[in-house]
This record gives sequence, C-alpha cells and structure tokens, in this order.
Amino acid sequence: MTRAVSSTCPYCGVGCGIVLNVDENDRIRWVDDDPVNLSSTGMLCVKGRFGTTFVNHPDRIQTPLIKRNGRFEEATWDEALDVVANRLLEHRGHFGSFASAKATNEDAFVQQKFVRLVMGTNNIDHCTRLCHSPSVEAMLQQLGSGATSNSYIDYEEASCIVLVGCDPGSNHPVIASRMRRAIDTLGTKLVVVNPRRIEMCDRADLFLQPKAGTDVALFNGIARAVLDDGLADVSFIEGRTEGFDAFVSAVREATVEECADLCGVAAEEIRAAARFFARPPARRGQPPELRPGSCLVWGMGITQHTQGTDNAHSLLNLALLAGQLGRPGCGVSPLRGQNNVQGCGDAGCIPDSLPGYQPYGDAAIAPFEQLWGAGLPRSPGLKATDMVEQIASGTIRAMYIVGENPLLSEPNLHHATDLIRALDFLVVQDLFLHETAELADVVLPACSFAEKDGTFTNSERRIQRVRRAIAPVGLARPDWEILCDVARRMAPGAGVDPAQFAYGSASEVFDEFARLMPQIRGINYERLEGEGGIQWPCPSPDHPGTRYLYADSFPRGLARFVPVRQRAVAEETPDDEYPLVLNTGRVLYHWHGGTITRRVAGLMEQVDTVPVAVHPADAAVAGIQEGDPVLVFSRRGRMGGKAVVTDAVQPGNLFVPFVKLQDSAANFLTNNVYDEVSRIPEYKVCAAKIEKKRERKGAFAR
Amino acid sequence: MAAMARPLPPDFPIRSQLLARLYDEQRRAGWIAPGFADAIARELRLPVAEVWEAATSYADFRSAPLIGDEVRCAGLSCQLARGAFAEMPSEASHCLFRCYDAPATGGEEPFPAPMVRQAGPLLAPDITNTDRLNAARRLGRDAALNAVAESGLRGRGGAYFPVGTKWRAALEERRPIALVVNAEEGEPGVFKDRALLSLAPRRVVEGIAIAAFILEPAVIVVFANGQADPAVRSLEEALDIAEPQLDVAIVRGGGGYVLGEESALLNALEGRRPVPRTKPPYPVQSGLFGMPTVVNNIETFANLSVHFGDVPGFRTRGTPETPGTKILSVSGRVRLPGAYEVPLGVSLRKVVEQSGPAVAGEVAVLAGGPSGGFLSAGHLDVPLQPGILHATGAMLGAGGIVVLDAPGDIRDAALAMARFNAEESCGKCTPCREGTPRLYDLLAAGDVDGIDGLAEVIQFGSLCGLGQMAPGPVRSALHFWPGVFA
Amino acid sequence: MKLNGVSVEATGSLLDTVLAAGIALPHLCKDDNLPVIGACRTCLVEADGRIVAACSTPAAGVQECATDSERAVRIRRGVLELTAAMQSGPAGAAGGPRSAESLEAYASHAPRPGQYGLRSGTHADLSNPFFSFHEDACILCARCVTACQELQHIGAIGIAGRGHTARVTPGAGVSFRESICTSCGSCVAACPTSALRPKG
Repeated sequence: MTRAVSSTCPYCGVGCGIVLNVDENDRIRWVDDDPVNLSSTGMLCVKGRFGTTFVNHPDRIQTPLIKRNGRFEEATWDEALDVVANRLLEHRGHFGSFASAKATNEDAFVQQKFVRLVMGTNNIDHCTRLCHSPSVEAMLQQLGSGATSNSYIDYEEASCIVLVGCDPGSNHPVIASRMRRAIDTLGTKLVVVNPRRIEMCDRADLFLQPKAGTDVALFNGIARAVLDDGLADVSFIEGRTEGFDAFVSAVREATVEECADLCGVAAEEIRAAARFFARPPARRGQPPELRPGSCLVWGMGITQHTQGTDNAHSLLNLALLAGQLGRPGCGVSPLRGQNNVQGCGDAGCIPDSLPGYQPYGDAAIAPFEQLWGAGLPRSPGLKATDMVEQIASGTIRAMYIVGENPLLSEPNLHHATDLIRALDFLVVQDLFLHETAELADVVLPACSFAEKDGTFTNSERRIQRVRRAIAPVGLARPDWEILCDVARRMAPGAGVDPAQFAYGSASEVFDEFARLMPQIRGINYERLEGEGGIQWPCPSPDHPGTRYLYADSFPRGLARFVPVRQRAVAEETPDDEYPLVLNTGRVLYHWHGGTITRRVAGLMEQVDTVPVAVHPADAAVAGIQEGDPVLVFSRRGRMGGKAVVTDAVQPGNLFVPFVKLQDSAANFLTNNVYDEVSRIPEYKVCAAKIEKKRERKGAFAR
Repeated sequence: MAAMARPLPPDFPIRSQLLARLYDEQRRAGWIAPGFADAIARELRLPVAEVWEAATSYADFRSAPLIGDEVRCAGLSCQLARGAFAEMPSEASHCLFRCYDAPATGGEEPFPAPMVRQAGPLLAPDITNTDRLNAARRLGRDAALNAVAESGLRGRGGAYFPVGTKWRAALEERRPIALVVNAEEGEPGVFKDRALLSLAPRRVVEGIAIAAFILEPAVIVVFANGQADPAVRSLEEALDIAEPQLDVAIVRGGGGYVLGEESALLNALEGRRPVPRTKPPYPVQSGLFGMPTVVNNIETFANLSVHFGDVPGFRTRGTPETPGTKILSVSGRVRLPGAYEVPLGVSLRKVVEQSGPAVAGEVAVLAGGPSGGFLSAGHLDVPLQPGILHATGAMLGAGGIVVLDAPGDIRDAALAMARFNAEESCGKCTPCREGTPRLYDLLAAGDVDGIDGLAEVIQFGSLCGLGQMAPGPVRSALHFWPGVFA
Repeated sequence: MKLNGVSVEATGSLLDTVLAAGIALPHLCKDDNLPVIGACRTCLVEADGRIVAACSTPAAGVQECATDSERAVRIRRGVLELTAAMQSGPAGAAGGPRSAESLEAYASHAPRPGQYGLRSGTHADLSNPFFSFHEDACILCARCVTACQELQHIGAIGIAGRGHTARVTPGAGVSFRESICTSCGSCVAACPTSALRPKG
C-alpha cells in the first residue's frame, strides 16, 4: 500500500504542487501532479515528476562528519554540534553564512535569526546574489518591492508576453506550458529576446536576437520607439511615476536606428516589439473594458552581466513607460530559479535588510529586538560574492553554508576553490558530500524536502506547504532544528536567551516569521491547510492574498524612472586568442550545478555530458562535427563537453549549461567580475575558444 | 497555389491554415511525407505530432505515394452497376458523386442539367439579380430573422434543425459569429449540393449573403469537398460576380464521412484531428475557435434565397412542420437517376415509381445511405420527412435514395454499408471504432445472433450521430430479408 | 434530481453528480485534470430515458438518472467488452499509476471474456528513460494525448490514423525519445491502463 502526501516541488521557482506516493519502505514510488494547486494547475515537468529519487540516493550523508587529519570521520550529533558551536564562538566578527533557497522559509528564518542574533552580523546571503540580485535592486529602487508583480494566471490573461534572456521551456517548464496555453488558445502574442534561439521561439511572433551585453541599448531603443510612435501611457506616467523627463532625455540620446546598429537587431523589429509590448492586439476573450496587457518576463540573460542592474532598470523603465503594471494580464516577472529563492529573501537571508525587506532603521528593527530580547547589527552585511572574495583579506574566516554548493555556482571555480580552502572553519549542512562539503571541517546531514515540514514561497509570492512524506534518511535533521541546536549551545556565550531557539514545530517558526513580516501577517499553517497556497501581501487573517501588485500605488509611492545608458558590453570580450563569446545557462534535464540531478538515473540518461552549443560556421573552422568531444578554454580554465552544432546560437557564440557533468563545468571558465550595485558575476559573457578533443592514440590509450 | 480555395483571415489562429497546407500538398505531391509534416509544423508553429494527427485523419490524404491506380467510383450505385462487389475497389477509389452516371470512372464533373429529373424553386434556372437579398434588407435584420424563424425552414444537411432557432441561439451569445457554409458533401449516393452549386450557384451565394446580412458574421467560411472541383469552380465564379462582394474563405476538405458531423468539421477547420466534440457546448455557443458558430448546408442557403423570393409562398410547399422542397438524389436500379426536387412529405413510393425502377425481383430502397436503412417494397408508402421512415433505420437524411433489387442486391449492399461505416469511423469513440468493424465481420460471417447486442452498443454508446446510426443498414436488412445472410 | 431513485443535488456534469453521491461509475477517458473527451463511452447512464455519457451531460435539466438500470449496465458492459478486446498483453493489468481505474471498471461489469476477438496493437516504445508505452494495453481513450496537447501544450504525442487504424504516436517513425517529448509524465499520470507506465 502506498500513501499520498501533498507537498511542493523542490526544483525551480514555479512551485508546482506535487503528491508524493510513498510505499511501505518509505520510498517515493510515483509523483503525481496536483490539479487543485493554483500555481501548477495539474502540470509538472520531468524534474518534478521523475526527479525526486535523489532523496533515497545512497550518496546521502547519513551521519554528522568531522574532519580529522584531513579525513572525514563519522560523529554523533552532540560531538558535531559541540565542535560547530565552539569554533563559531571563536569566529564571531569574521563570519559569513550562505542560506539555502532550496530549504524552507522556516529554515531560512531560523538561519538569519541565528546569524544576526547569535553571530551578531548581517553577513548572510543566498543564491539570489547569483541570479536576480540586479532585478531585486532595480525593483526596490524603482517600485519599492523586489517581487514579481503579477501571477502566473496573468500570463494566461496577457495579450502579449515578452520573454527576455530566459528559457522557460528548460528552466520553468510549467510556466512555459501556461504561456503556450495562452498563445495556442487565446492568440496571445509572444516576443522573445534572446541571443540564442530558445524552444519558445517556435511559438514566437517576433524574435529579437541581440548581441551579448547590448540589452540597455536594445531596451532604450524599444523605449525610443514607444516614444516616437506615441505609444507611451501618458496618464500612467503623469499619475504614478516620477523622473520621466530625465529618462526621456537619456533615451533620446540615441535613435532607434543607432540602437539597432549597436545590438544587431533590425530597427523595424525594435519598432514591432515596441508596438507589441505597449499596445498589443487584444487576445481572444479580452474583457473589452480592460486594456490589453503585456507581461514582461526576464531571467539571467538580463541579470548576469557587469551591467545587470542597468539592464533591469531598462526593462522596468519600459514597463513604466507603457503602463504595463497593476492590472490583470500585465506585470514584471523576474523568473526565480530556485524553489524558495523568493522565500529565502523574504525571510531575511540577505545582507541589506531584515525579514520582509525591512531596512536596518530603528523603526523597523525595534520589533525584532523586542521580540528577540537583544540588540541586532545595523550595518549592511557582505554580499555572497563579496564574502567569498573577502576571504582573501581575512575579513571572512569562518562560514556556515546551508544547502549551497558555491564551488559549482561561483564564477571562476579554481579561484573560488582556493579562497574557500583558505577559511579557518567551514560548516556545510547538506544532503550530499559535494565539492564545497569536501572542504568543510564539519558536515551536518540535513533532511531533504520530503523529510520535513515547512513552506516554500514561489515566484508568484505564493506560500505553499511542504509536508513530511518519509522518515529522515540516516540521522538527517531539518535545517532549522540543527540551527536551533547550534544556537542554543552558543546562546550563553553570545548573551542570547536559549529560549529564542526553542521552537516546537515548523508551524511555530512560521508564526514568528509572520509576526515580523507585515506582508505575510495574515498567513498561518491552519489557513494553508484549508485554502492551499496564499499569495503575499496578505496582511490580515481575513485577507485572501494578492494576485498582482501595484493596482493603486507603489510601495515607494510613485514609481521612478532610472535613466540608464549602454556601457561596454562586457568586462571581457573576444580577441584573437579567445575569439568566441561564452554564454552559460541551463538545460531541462539538469538543475543548476547538478548536485541533485546527477543523482537521478533517468536525468543522467537524458544528458550525461555537458552539451556545448556551437554555430555551424565556428564548428567548421574548428573542424568540429555534431557529437564530437570538445574542449572549451577561457583564461581561467578549461572544460570538456560534447558538441551540439546548431544555428540556435549566433556565429561567434558558444552556449554551455553550467551543470557539472564528467567533472566538467562552465564555471571553471566564467569570469569573476561583478556588477557594481548588485555584485552579481558576469556569467553570461566571457571570451573563450573551442577545439575538438584529440583522440588519444598510442600505447596508453584506453 | 492550390486551385479553388480562398484563405482564411490572416488574424485567424495560424493553425487554421493547416488543413489548406495539407490539402495543397496532397494535390501537389499525391501524398504527405513525414518531412513535409515537419516543415509545416515549423512554419505554422505547431507540434509535429499534431500535424501528423491531421495528416493521417482524412480519407483523401495519403501517408505513402499511390502509384497508377485507375480511380473508379466506390459508391453503392456504381458497385451495383459494375456488379463486382467481391472485387474490392482499388485504393485510389472513392465515390465520384456521379451516381446518375454509374458505373463512373475518372473524376468529378459538373452536374449535367438534364439529370435534373424534377425541378422546383431550388433547381429552377439560376437567379440573375439580388432581389431576394434586397427583400431581406428592406425588412431589416430583426424582421428578416423573424421571417426566417417563421418560415419553418429546417436545415437540409440531414438533421433538419430549425434554422431560426439555430441563428437566434448564436446571436444570443452576443459575440462575433462564425458562419460556416457546409459544402463538404461526402455521403456516397448524395449529389444535391453539387447539383445546386453547378446549376444555381448564384442562388446559393445569395442565400449566404442573406445569412450574412442577418448574422453579421465576423468570418464566413465555405468548407468545400476536396474532390468537388467543378462545383467549387462554379461557386467561385458566382462569388466573383456577387454584388455586393462577400468576403468568403473557401477551405477544401480531405474527405471523410465524419465531416458530416458539424463539430468534426469545425475541428478540421481549426487544423485539429477531425473528430466530433462532446456537446454541450453546441457550436452555436462555442464553435470555431470558441466563436458562436452557425453551420448550414448548401441546400439550406439556397432555400433561404427561395424563401425571401416568396415569403408567403414558402410555407405552401412541403408540410406544416417542414415547409419547402427537398432535393433527392436518386440512383441505383432505375432508368431515370438524377436529382428530384420534391415537396417535403411526398410519398417515397411515388418518387421510386417516378424514377423507373428496373429490378428482376422486388423493389427495395436504401434511404439515408450508410446512416439510414433499407426498406422493402411493402414499406414505401411513407411520407418523406424528417425523422425515421422505419424503426429499423431508414430515414430521409440528406435525401439519398438508392433503388435496389431484392433480395438479389441486399447482402452485397448491406455489407457495403457496414464496410463503409467501419472504414469511415473517425476512431474517436470506442463503440464505433471497435464495434463497426466487428459488425461487418459478424454480418459477413453470417453470425447474425451476436448482431443485436453489438448494434445496441454501437447505437446507444457512440459519441456522434454517425456511430449511433451506423447499425441501421445492417439491422434493417436483417429485419426485412433475414434469409439472405444465412 | 433523482439518482438511482434517491434525491441528490445536481452539480456539474452527471458524472460529477454520480461520483459526488459516492456511486462508482467507470469513466476511463475522464481525468479530473483534463477537459471532457467523451471517447471511452464507459460512463453511460440512463438519463430521463436516454442513454448518455455522464461526463459530457450537464446534470442541470436531468430529472432522473440511473447508473444501475438494466439497459445502462448492459450497454456499458458491451462497451467494456469492446474495450477489453483492445488489450492483449499481460500489460492489460496493473503497472501504471492509474491502471486501477480500468481494472475496477472491468471488475464491476464482468465483461464476458472473448466476447469479441482481440484487436490490439503490438508496438512498444521503451526509448524514454522514465516511462514506456505499450500498445497492447492502449484503449485509445486519448487521455495521454489530451494531457500532452491541452494540459501541457507540448503536443509530443497525437492519435494518428482514423478509425481502426488510429494509434497513439509521437509522430511518423519517431520514438518518444526522438520526439519533442519533454518527459513531463503527464501522459503517464493520465493513462487509465498500463499502456503508459513508469519504468523501474
């Protein structure tokens, strides 16, 4: 007999409902979709459906491990927790922590509480730094909130969807399905902006293929076309925004044709994109009283640049200019990559604000200090990428990394590995003994999503339950419980009341979180049980949740235009030695660095080596044919892969997913240079070269 | 470019172009290769499996090239005339809709005027002006709609649904309407739409114009049989000279009896697998791409023109429940095959006698084609009107009347109908798809005991009318001539 | 309305009403997750004297509905006999996440074995790493195809051919692995037999 447990998918930020069917041996036998889940409406992708077998993979860490004489030894929880507590007490003041966007809101909330209250620092961050920090920075500045403004249902009620620098078919498959539903059944227009031809291009009405790093020029050009053609939403601009004049003068510095030249897109296409976005033809069934809307959707193609924040500004400016915010069927959507990257930020695992994006001002911090009974640090902490870089200076000497594998996700991995090795003390809490964990002093076995209770918050701000479906594997424990144990051991030494970390259940943790984050104050487990997921803002128990933001006002009052100008396209551009642009991304069958998906047999059967997409012209120059083993080099490293010869990439470009397979990963090549504002690395552009891997011939060839 | 088609509006969903592309390719290349399906899928932004679904779901579309077979008519009358049921028609064969010319070979031809054996207002010499349209316009939309409703006009495709009721239901949706003109005449033995299109195309076009005046449709589509080139050419010529010009798309079909089911026809227009939809919603509520959709038959449109030419006179012909005339397609063992335009309610026997039966034994009739049933000589005194003519299956339907020699022709004819229904099952629902081939097998094997039970499952279990009526020929033949199957 | 002689509240379709009343009724082509298909004809009931498919008949407007009338049961059994005759392999039994649906339908209607000769396909497609397809268990209910086309809007599979040549296929001469299938598994989740079943 199997039992069925409703939960939320642990992969991307779509947050699909899943039903785990578990057998009497606590094995997940089958994962069902959940037709009543409002985010996924009965859909799943391959990873959600077939990708959860990692939970029972033999590689799971079964016990705490302590490294002695360079080797891990199994330890009891008491031993391991004592070591962690004692060593961390020594390192207060030069400590940093990575939280996990894969873990629950409850895990994240307890972790930031531990870091702020016990470790006395705001040096906490998570993977948002590597994906959407520029979006969040730009949205906070211009709108006052860093979340997706619309819901997925708005993609189905939009008259036009503009996809910029994202590949939802691979990375947010259920959102892609919902978009296809609108396109196929309602005639919704689709505009794709991407240097690479993605699967959604099959259904696109317009496909713009700009040169890498020219997004500001492109979106300023589209804005210019909106202005020139009289498509701007004047009443929205007058009533709800500020800074328009400065924006207009910046945009007027270049004509549409000049922008077109810069980004390699035809001026006519720029104008067409402007018309589609600003004034889309009504989809079928569009309520006549409502203006047809456009959803502006973007991904890492916008953010992972040294000008990532500028790029995000240029998008938001366009949305404001066309007034495509605050109604059904429109909005701005940074597609979130991880299941709980929204929640991890909401819960305060970011260095520059408290839970609920509350700044470190007296007014905001007071309720925290009152409830937690101690003073909290008030200066912004280090961002994730800076924490790693600051190991070199000794500013960071100890780290506590939960559910993250920076040695797959940081740029320039050789460099990052050297830094992490230099730490005095490293705790890693995770499911598998991955690249980063190998370098740890103590490794703590954490529960997977299937072994614990909690909540995830998805890309549409919907808080959904995660439910324990199987007993913990080995001695694994939920992250928040482990963190509480560490905190209680350290509390006396840190002058904190141990009772601050004495939660009886995940539900109790959530209640404290909801008490401190006004946007979710109306939510508790009882409501989630009865109503399913609820979208914040939900300020009171009788509030139904919020489908789209900014209906009447922006959190900062008026939305602000931020003029931006195209700068150098990238820090490192092709030259004679490295003549190609290396672009990175993801594939459907693997998830990010692959720590999890490498442990799912079927996914490995689908993709077992890193595919390197190369244009036929470049392949011909290098003598490469489809399927050939290839080597790709940058100034920082090299990797192996399998050639995919395709005109989906432009001549002069390579595309490599950053999953690590056969010990090869794109991040050995990527450049550790950063956007000034958000400190996101420039994963999307570096100079590279490709060659066919020579077959070994000779006596020692295998 | 394919001959005789006019594209759908460019703002229509792009998948609506699929059928036209497949049709063109079939005509150009003689088959639809997987590579073509791939290319068209890319061009129309459709998944290739969905293109392949459509490409393999029409009688006339081939997924392998066909070499050098002579096209011989496979209709019942031509098989009778050929006297060779045992020798199954070649793969290239299909009904040529020249039952008056049996046994026909080659292709379709314009309907010859001398084959109008009895004319009424529909088959009278074609009109030369738009007086009837003008009359409707003078009434105004609302009054004209009332006039249609009060005329008692019923659809002539075979279901005889009141036209006014259908139109009012579509108008009540208060959304842009699609008007679909059904010229996909695909029932072997019926050629009345071809006769009308060949001989009175301007009357048909005027009827469409009257409907367009009343319904103000956002789109008008003629769904025309893919083989009926002469009829479509004639329609195009009439459209070209129509005043005022009508914006009409013409889509050519790929054949298949199921297209007589209007929701299957709408699926075909949408570029989907041509299978019936469940109802509700009915097409008048949600039809072509969700628009309220009116589907009417060619003969219905011609009747509209007739009606507005003589509003008081319309009800003087036919019966009070079903006023007007009906074109019968008479063929088989007769000396005078052809089109007979008769007032509804006329006796079947009278029509049969008029056509000059030439039989060795007794006269028998197949009424309503593969969906109808057989009648023995003693059961011909029935008025031709909607509804069944006999409980075992015979019905007026689209007006196909095949005169047979009983008992000599019965076994072959019943098997031909059973086989046709099995081959023409669209394959969507289980009772029809699985049941009709087995019904044929049982009948061919003379295993008549099992037939009743299976016929009940097919009749009451099938999704659409074609399945529900498929057992008719078998059951009626067994009823009247049980001996011939032993 | 009266359902099998008992007053019940009419909700949605007749099938919804029947199931809400706790009465078992096969519905092999109707999945909660999918629109009405109307292909399998295993949910036939007698409504005000007419045999109708419960899945596609609105309950409103029906006065009396019987799932247990002799005629309805007899015709349903006939449909299930035709359905069973499409399944030749041992795979006709368990194996898929929903195959209990067809097994229960057969169990409750006792189709006469061998009433109709077998007419099943034999093709099997084992190319996908996560699931396999077995024509010898397929009843052409079209749930998989509907899930692929109308739920996920992928369109990797379709029903090619008409009438008795119809079959589920990922395209002409293409395996699941070679097709545009994204392995989302919605087809497997929808299958009421074991024609599509997870591997391992």
